[in-house]
Amino acid sequence: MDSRLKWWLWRLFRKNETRVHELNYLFWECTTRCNLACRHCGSDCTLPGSRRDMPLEDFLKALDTIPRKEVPREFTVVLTGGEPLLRPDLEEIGKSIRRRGMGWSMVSNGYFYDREMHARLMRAGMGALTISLDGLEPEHDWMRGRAGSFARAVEAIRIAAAEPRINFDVVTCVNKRNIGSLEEIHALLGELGVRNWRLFTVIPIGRAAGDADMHLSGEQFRALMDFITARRKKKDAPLRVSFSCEGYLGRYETRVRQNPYFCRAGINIASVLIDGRINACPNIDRERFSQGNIYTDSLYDVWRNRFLPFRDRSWARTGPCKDCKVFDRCLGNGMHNWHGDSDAPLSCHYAKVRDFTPSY
Amino acid sequence: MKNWFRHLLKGTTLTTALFIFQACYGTPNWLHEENVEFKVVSAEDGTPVEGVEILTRVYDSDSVEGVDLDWNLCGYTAEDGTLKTLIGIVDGSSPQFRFQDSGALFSPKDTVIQKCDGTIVVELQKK
Repeated sequence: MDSRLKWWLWRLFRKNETRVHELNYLFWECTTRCNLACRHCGSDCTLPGSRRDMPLEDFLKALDTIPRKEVPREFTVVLTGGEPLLRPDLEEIGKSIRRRGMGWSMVSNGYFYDREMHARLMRAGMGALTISLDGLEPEHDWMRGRAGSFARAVEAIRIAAAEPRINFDVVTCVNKRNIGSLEEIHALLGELGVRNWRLFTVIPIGRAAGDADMHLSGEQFRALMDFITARRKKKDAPLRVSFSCEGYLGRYETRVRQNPYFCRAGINIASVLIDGRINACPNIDRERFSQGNIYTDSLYDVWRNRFLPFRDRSWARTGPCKDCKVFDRCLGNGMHNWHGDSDAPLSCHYAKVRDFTPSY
Repeated sequence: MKNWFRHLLKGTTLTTALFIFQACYGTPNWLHEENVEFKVVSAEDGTPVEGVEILTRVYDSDSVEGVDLDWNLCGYTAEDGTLKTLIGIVDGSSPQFRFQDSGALFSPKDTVIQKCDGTIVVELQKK
């Protein structure tokens, strides 16, 4: 099919999804406590934690504002943090969500994930899991700020990869230190039995803002795209590699992930943040884009009646995006790229592949 | 496009992948391969039983003392005794299910289901 026709159909699909505006993916920032000190952490969370964990009953009250008939079968509550495994009531959380006919999943650094924890979480109905691995031992431990975290993450991955009943993937934040090790990491994950590996890059927020080692150069970014493209050409490979849906990638679209770019923040994705604020993804500017608060508003009412900046992205046609020829495909890149009062996204993935691809 | 067309796309094998996504820094969708529908009733009078915890396991695994390693929670029956859910399946195995009444009025029941077609009616005996 002609690529322009494909894009036309895709935009039609995206427009309809935006109009229907079905909530089916809800982050819950259930804690900001963390046992690690990752260099790329967007929330800058630390072990003591500046905020107390949100009580489960507060979150459930917010969840109960969603009418049962409006809950699609694939509705997922994604526990994030901080490190969710630090919560002592994780099983109760999981069962409470399942009582409401919803699924749940978790993003974890894997440090506290052992066989017993796995069994307990499966018993509480966990349906999907993501564990971070940010390189081989030296790079991972450097990035996570704690010696021994690599070994713990690898053990967690081994356990999760052997579980066929959950959707499990490993994520890697690609940076200057680990980009040279992608082949070795790929081999390691293959040995561990992992079936899905997702790569992403960071934007300059949180701790990563002033850390030059965390950000790829244009050439490195293109090398990352080429690495993923080459891996995906092997259709029968047991380990599927993909790039996260963090931005529009021009010629690399559909080569590095299953579907074309579509930022679903505020279209299908919402989050309940640690202080009760309602936003789309947790890494989106909280001051600028929060839409309400579960302590003063109904989560479902906010979802149905607000989120307008997410559903109509015409405001992003400003700064460098104003006259951009691919704006109708990109809509100003991922929402998490818009911070503060800036009239430009923090990162333009399209510019990276355009400027550093000679034949483009 | 109308909502009915969206439902059609979602239910069609070739286009269902359009709806599978994960947030940039989130987990994969909770989307398993098999839809299952249960209806749990009292063996005595056929009335629906609410709040029954339904667990599944599809393979035997090692066990750690005091922990059920191999059970995965599917969910709980609603007021009409039904639970519609998605379960993970493993090729070549038949899922085993356990039904436990959280109200403790009924005895738990374990059963193996060869094929998860239609509504599976399960009768529980009162204690």
